[in-house]
Amino acid sequence: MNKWSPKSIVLGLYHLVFGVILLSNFRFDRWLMGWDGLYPELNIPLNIIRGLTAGWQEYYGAGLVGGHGFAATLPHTLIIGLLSVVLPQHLVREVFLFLCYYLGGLGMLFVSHKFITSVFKTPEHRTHSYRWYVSLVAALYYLLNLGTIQTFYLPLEAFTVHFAAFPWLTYSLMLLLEKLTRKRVAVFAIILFLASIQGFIPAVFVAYAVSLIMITGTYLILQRSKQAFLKIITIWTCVIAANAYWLGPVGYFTITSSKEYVSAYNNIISTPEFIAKSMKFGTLPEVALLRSLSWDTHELGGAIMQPWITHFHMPLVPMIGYGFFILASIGLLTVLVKKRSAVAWGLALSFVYFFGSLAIDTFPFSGITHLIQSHSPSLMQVFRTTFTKFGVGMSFHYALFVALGLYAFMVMIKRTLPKIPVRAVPILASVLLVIYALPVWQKGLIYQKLFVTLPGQYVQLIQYVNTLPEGRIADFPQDCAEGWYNELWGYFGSGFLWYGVNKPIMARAFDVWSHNNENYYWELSTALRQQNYTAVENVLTKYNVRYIIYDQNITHCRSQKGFTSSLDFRNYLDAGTAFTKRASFSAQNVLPITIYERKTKTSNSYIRLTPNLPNGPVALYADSDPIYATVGTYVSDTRLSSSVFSKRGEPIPVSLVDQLPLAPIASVSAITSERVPCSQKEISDGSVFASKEENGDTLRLITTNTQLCQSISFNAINTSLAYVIAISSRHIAGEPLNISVTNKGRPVGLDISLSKQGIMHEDYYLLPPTFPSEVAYTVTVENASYNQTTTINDIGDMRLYAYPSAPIPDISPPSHDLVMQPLISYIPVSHTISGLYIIDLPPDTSAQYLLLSQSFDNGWRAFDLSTRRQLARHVLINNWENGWELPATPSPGNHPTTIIIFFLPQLLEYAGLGCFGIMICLIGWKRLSERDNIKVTQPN
Amino acid sequence: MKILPYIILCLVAGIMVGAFLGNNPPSPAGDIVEYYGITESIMRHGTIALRPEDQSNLSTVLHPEYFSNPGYYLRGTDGNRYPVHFIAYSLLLIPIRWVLTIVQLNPLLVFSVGNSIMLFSALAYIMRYALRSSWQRGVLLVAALTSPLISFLWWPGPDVFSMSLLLVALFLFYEDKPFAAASLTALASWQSQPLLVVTIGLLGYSCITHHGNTKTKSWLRLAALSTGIVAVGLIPYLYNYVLFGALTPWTILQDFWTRTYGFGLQNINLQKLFEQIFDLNIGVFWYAPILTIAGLYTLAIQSIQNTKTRWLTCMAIVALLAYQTNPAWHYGTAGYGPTRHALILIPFLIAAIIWHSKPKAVWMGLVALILVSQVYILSINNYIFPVFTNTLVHSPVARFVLDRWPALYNPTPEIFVDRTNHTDLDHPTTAIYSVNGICKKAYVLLPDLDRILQTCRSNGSSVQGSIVHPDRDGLYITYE
Repeated sequence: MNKWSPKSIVLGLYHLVFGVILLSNFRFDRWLMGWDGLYPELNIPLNIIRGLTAGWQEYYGAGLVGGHGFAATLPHTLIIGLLSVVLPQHLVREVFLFLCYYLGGLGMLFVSHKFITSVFKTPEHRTHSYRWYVSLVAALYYLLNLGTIQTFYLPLEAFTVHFAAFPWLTYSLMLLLEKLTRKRVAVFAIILFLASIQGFIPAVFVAYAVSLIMITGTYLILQRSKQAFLKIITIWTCVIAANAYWLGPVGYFTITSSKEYVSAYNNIISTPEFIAKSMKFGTLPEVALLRSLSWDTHELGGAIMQPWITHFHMPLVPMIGYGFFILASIGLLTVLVKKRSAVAWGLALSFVYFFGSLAIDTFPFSGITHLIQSHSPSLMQVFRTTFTKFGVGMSFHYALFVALGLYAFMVMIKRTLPKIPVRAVPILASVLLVIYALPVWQKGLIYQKLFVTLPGQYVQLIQYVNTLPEGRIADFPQDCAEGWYNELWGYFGSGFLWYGVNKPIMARAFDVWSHNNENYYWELSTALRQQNYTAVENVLTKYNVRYIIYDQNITHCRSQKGFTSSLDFRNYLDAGTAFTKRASFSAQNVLPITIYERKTKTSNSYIRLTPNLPNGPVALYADSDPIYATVGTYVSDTRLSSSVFSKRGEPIPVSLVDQLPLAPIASVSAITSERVPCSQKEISDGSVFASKEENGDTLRLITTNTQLCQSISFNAINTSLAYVIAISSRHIAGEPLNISVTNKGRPVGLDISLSKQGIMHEDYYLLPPTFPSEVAYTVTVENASYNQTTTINDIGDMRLYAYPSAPIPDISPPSHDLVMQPLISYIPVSHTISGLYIIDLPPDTSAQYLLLSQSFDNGWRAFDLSTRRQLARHVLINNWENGWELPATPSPGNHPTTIIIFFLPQLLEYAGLGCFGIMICLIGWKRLSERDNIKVTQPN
Repeated sequence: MKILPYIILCLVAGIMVGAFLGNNPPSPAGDIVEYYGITESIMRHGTIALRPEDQSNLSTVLHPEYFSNPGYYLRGTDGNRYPVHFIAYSLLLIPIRWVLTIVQLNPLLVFSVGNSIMLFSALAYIMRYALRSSWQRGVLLVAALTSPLISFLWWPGPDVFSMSLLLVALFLFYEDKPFAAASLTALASWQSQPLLVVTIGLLGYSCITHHGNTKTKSWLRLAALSTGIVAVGLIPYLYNYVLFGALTPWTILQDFWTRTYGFGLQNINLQKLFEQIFDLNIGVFWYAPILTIAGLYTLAIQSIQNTKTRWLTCMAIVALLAYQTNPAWHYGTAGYGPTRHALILIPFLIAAIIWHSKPKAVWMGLVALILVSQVYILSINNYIFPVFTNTLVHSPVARFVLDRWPALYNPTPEIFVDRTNHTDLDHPTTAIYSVNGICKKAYVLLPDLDRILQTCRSNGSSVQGSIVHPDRDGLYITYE
């Protein structure tokens, strides 16, 4: 009977462990939905087409380019499509995620063995037979360390694929650096293409690419040979070719629109908190254990990782984690001493890089972080949550170096203490890992609240909406700027409908990528609060919205009373004056989800023609569009002054305050404010401090690692009028004060951070008219500290001024530009895919403008096929959409003119796919020709 | 040529002792009152209790306020006042003081002469019995005699006593004499208690290596020997218990630091470990940069291959951490110089580089670099006559950084406060570091926040800190 090889035993054990984890955590009866996630299984063909036309994200609200690698979802959708053939729809995502988990661990098994072999080239002290067992420990560590757990606890495909791919990419890289063969190049290229799913979050790819630069660069420096150079060129050609298809569109976004991402409201509000929390987990003890901000994340009052937090209260558990960190450090030192493997040196450098990227509150890396924070806001934005970008990479490197450290430790024991049975060491390490990750065996790998039962009504809704004619959808209720949905049936996340619905949805999840989407929200929410449904209609018309989906299952982000004002809007919808109720889906435990269609005619294809248009101002962000309300469609002219007021946090400029006709209404001192509970969970361990001190006529708020909230009320005021609120404050340390204005718990849209000025000063903010029949505003001041850095702010008086007129004098366009709204005509258009419109203009058209209801972008091009020329004058219409001035002369022969509108940067994706295709063909062709040569020579 | 290192050693020893004898004794500093007072008491009446006549006599050479300081001469359980510092060091000084008295030299010179004898004797012993080659002896001379240890020769305290014993112990350890080494560190720990962890480390090494050694007759013998050595190290605790009824008198003192932080593991953190090596004021690195780099590199690299060095590295780290158990962090520098809490690293660095260095060009270059750089660095601290008051002044390196990039330097507040305010208080206070009246950096306690914000008006300030206990935590304000 053949003796089993260590490799076979280890593979068997790995599958046994994985099987137990799978059985402990897999749910056969639920969907795995929530937080961030991709759900192409809701409509595979639709998502394949979207992947192929990812240059322009037409279904993202008003349309946008977007900073995610949307094209990178293509391989994922294809895999999901294959899985959908054999699996029930609700299990596809879960299976895919577990597949990533399985592949990652398996890859670690092989790559760690390869790594040990590359460092310990000669068998030492009869321990070489233990290498596979040590590799098993590394694989288990990779599966069970906190970094991995947090990645899978709230999974997003880009991160889980990153987890699965990192070991295989490194393994194939090591093979390539060992020997360059076509087979190895082909394998590397294919793995790269499959791994390109990670490019959905481009920063993850950047993290990997920088690591690769370090490994290949070190290799090149240490080898210094022509062959080494050839290997590196080949590797990077593969990397670029396999990722070019999504890198191109993302590159275009980065160059043209990345500033929008940085200045998006959701990012302005959340980024400082994310950075502060990343700093909190950037200390050495936290990075050693790979703890991240999900440790500090709460949902509905409870810590989402509570089972793990409880488990880690046992002193032994973190000690085990630190023990493995020490092993990894020993592994790192081993590489430095052995000096044998250039790849190992590269990986050691990469280890330090990942460590430094996470340890942002640890010297000397904290200094580098400080430098980046000061000089590159966009880089800081992209890497605001360091763990999601570097956590998996760090986990991979820890596991790799744990293997090496453990093996070096065993070699050392064998040398110095030959009588100690070293084979017990991997067994002991494995047992410790089992204890370390005990919650994994108790359904703790994935957050249990992510397992939900998706009501069938949503599937019916998707199917029904897909049968309707083309048109943009507005989702309701709307009152929260955050792109987050909390459904009564258990879903809590960034949304999923659009993966099934084939029409654009004006959802908040997309606001971070385009100010047009965000402006839609500001304009809509302002009108809704005022219950001014004419204004609501105007907003819907302006953004070319045709349908409304009103989901009564959505709960408010702040308060249970939040959507009470939406009830009135729902009644308005049901009244049928402006909307036609198309369908409604409900069940015993599912409140109605209703689809309405507007009675006002909109374009089926987002294309329309208009005669001459007036000019209006350009406003980057605005709460309302008085020009559109007055004259209808207009050309936005950058020469005209724009709105200066918005609720996004910018105070009214002091120079303008003096010119405003402000009448004082009320003044309240902060000293009289009451302490109220904060919205966030307040931590109550020994590391927190909160104090308020009266300091003359101001109130000083001091907090460390917690929040302190004070509330001031303005009573007996008419909320249907506009006000300006003046807040005097001084920022001393940490975070600035956060201000939130509400009425009976309902936000009125002013959720902002005060400016960080070190002297006592006043900030003025516009409070536009809100609820028609209310008499009070409550201002909540939050002094927040998200880590051990103390926040100190002084707050003085708050004054409310009546602001008599809503439109601001200097934003109106010159009167001579105000003309009556011209007639708009709709024409048949061929619009088969996103980013392409073919229009036949009637020969007798008198229209002067051709409008495209997609967000304005310079990448849009209109070509006149009859003249074979581009339409030269591309203008911004209604402050958000595209327009082209049509040529004055009619087409020759009185034939219809065909105009093609195309989003040109889409070609970048096709060029990238072409590159990859050519590369694969070249590899395959060479292989075939080699085989032919062999066949020819074989007879001899 | 073999004798050359010995000649150099004697020459340097002669020059140094001569220089000390030819100068005035050091100005009173540190715990001189007890170390000198013990010699006074024993020479007068053969006991260590402080009697009025001792106090009267000591007050002629030391400030009388020493005797009203609650930190010295605690009242014992029998009602007499006894020194809180252990007496071994002072006992060694008695014969020297006796000789100095006979030759009519200032008896306060006893410290510098005594320290010199201890250090040079230790070096001579190592050269004679622990080193094999002239190269190693030469490296020892350069590394030790240009190290910051030299600044402590002038210091009226037992640091040189402890470090000399430790240095010898480390070489004995390399000579496969771990018990002898442990015995010496146990003695060294009499005056510097955290060194007991090194004793335990050395004994632990003996136990582990004993596992594979079939020649050793019994574990019992090993256990007995280890217990005996540890018991030697515990003598000061017995001394305290007998005299004061407590294992350590420091817990009785109840100054602010002890009351607030207490002695123990809770005071240990990585920032302090970093400061022990790299702090601009108290870190070893800035006072022996080449030795630190070469030594740490050698320790790290050789730790992988060499068991003893691995053990040495672990002991060095644990010992550094053990010093952090002390709640007071900023004290014990001889002028500018590494803190007493970090001085322990130097013998480890010296042992590591001597043990692993080879007479090759790279090492020769390094040793030359150590010599040249240390001659310059020691000059900043006035060579062997350091100005003790500099312990309350920012070092030139710290000043350089604070003047230009104040945001980069955020040490444990005690360091910044003491050196900015030039005080050595036993509680945290507010301090403003300014240049030509312009605020650069401040450490501020909450009650003083408004005053400092008023005093240092600037729009370009950043305030950072972590306040959890408002009675002792403060904020750093940096003015860009």
